[in-house]
Amino acid sequence: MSKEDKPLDYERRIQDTKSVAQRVDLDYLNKPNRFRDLRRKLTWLAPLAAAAGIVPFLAGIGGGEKIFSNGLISRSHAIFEHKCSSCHTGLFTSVKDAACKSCHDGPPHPAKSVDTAKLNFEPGCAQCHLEHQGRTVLAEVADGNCTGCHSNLTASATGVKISGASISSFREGKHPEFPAVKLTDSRPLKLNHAIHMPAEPKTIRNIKLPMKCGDCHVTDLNSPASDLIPVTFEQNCRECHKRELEFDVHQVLGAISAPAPHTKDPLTIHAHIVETYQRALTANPFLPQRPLGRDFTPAASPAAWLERIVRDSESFLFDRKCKYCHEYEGQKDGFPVIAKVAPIRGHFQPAKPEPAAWLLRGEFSHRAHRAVDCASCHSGAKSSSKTADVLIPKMADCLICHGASGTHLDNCSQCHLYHNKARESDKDRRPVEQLLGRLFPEAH
Amino acid sequence: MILADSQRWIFPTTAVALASTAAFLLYAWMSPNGPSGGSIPGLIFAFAGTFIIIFECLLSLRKKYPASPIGRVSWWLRAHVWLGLLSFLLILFHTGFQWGQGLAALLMWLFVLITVSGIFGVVLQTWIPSRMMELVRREALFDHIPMLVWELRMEADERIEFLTADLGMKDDLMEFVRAGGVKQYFDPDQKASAALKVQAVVEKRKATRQIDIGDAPAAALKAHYLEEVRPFLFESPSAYTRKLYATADKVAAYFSHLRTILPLEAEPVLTDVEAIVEERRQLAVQSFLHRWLHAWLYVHVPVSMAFLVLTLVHAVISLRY
Repeated sequence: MSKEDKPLDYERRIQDTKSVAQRVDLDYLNKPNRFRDLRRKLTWLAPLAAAAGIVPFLAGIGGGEKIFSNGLISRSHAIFEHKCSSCHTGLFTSVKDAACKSCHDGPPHPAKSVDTAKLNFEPGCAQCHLEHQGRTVLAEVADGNCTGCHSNLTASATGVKISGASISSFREGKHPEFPAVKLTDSRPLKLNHAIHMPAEPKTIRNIKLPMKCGDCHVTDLNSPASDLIPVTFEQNCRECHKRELEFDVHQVLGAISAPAPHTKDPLTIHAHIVETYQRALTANPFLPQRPLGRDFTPAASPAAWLERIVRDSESFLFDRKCKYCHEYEGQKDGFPVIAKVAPIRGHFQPAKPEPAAWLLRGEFSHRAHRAVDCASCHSGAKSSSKTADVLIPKMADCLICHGASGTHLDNCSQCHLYHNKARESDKDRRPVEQLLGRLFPEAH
Repeated sequence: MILADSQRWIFPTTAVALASTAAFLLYAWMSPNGPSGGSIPGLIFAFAGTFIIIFECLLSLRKKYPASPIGRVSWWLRAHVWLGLLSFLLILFHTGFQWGQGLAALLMWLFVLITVSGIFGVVLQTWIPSRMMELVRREALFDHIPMLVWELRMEADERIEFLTADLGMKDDLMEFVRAGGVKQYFDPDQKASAALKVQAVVEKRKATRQIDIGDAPAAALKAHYLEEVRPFLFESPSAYTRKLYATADKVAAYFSHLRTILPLEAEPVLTDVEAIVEERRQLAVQSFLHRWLHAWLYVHVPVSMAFLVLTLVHAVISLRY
């Protein structure tokens, strides 16, 4: 066999170090690597894309600056959503009080004139009223803003009158009992809830009892908080108690009998009684001949009869009927002086025409509680038989729903104000065009 | 490994994290309105977190200059991992665990993506190298794999041609001889005499079967090779062949079958081609693991850079308002 015809030798595969090393292409780092290149490109493209993408928002195109907002702003400020500079008036600084006070007065603390303490440190608006927390109500501030000072009131203010006031939450032992609970009602009027609301149903003078709370305590629909309209004789009592104004003790008037006016002026009542009997005498000149009570002796003259019957009627009225509800505070010109009642609302103050609020520092809305049965809070009302009974709910009655609910119902701001609304004044009102122009310049 | 020898980072990082947590709890407890990013403590957490984030991004720069004297890359890598985790905690304290909205929310989502991808990367880089040691006995440089696959294909063609003569493959620019001697590359620039010598060997191999196994077995081998073996020896093998040679056992089983249908004279060639296929399989496993080992970086690094840009915008805008 010639050399050319001899088959090629078959060399077996050897994987030694040398053969492996021979396979290495030393120039591999200079050759393109699509994965490495892709990563390098992405590393540059991603930040460039981010920078390019953010530019329109920085320029505020289409209200784009909204994306820099830390959160939705409160409901009442929603109109400012696209105009950050309405509140953020300065560069690299937080919102200044002046920005808030351009629209709001924000009268100082304490909220009620009964408190005269002066704060050691007046917090800024934004310290308590946090914006960008969603569609919240700004007035509903976190409790910590209140308890930060009220847990140690004397250290936070001067002229503090309340002793031992350390309030850390609306819980038993951490919030004082309502002062009203310790008061008594000294109103010179005989009120008796128990008679009007007996446990067993009964009928008196064709009136079915028990009455309902709303029969006398009517809410004022024009009041935002649905305050109760003061109870008055004319509105609430006359229907059932009109007999308490009848003075015809000898029953001589018959059809022309008219009840005495419900007034604290005895001379007016006297004049009404005299006039009524005079009319009766004119209509029937023989009236003096009729016996008065058990006295069968005819009157000496019509004048004597008139004088006698007026005296008996007034004695009957003033000594028995008026006293059914009212108290006297002496005599004047031969007539009793009826103690001033004042509108039946709040805490009666003898020397003042207007009553004081039962809740000196708190706010209450009957409207907010309209779903709740009255007796749930005014638990002692049905058994109360004295005017002195104060039926304002105790703190424990409120704690059923407030204090430990874990909701905004527990917040201080649910019942208390911070700013003294009595000292609040309207800020400069602006024409709507000016206000809109401030918010939406294109409106001009 | 990244997590090895991390004690010098674990303890200081944990200590700072605990101190920060205590400071945050105290601040949250004392703050009437709860923690917020715009408060003084919130800004302190923000500055600390941002400072660390900037340091984290410098790792790419450090890697670009491996010989720089500012600490070893391994030191930087461990600092990157542990401080990165700390920065996420600090940013959570900055936000008061609020997600925010708009850009702030976007930044939080990006930060979560970066942190999760980073943790994923650490886990992969801890687990995959040891797994690769088990599965890939002949690990190659990843960048070499396409060239190695090409070489394996050429070598297999050449060895099969010893049994089948010319396979009719014309797709390669260079010829080399492996089965006939030491590997030699020849391209047009090389000496013509050497090239001519190799050319003669190649032509002889292609002209006739150098190991005679008969026509029918040679045809059968050629068919098997061209349809099932050679397609596996490409950079992107077909799904069918990937499945066919999914494990070492499957490779062995396939060539065991070939041995039963081919004469004994084919045994040396079959053994060598089996080794080539097995090597290719291991390179495929290596590629797969290598991609997993680095794929997370396609998310982690670009998103980190975008995050850094947006963080700076967020910082400036937030301070401006």
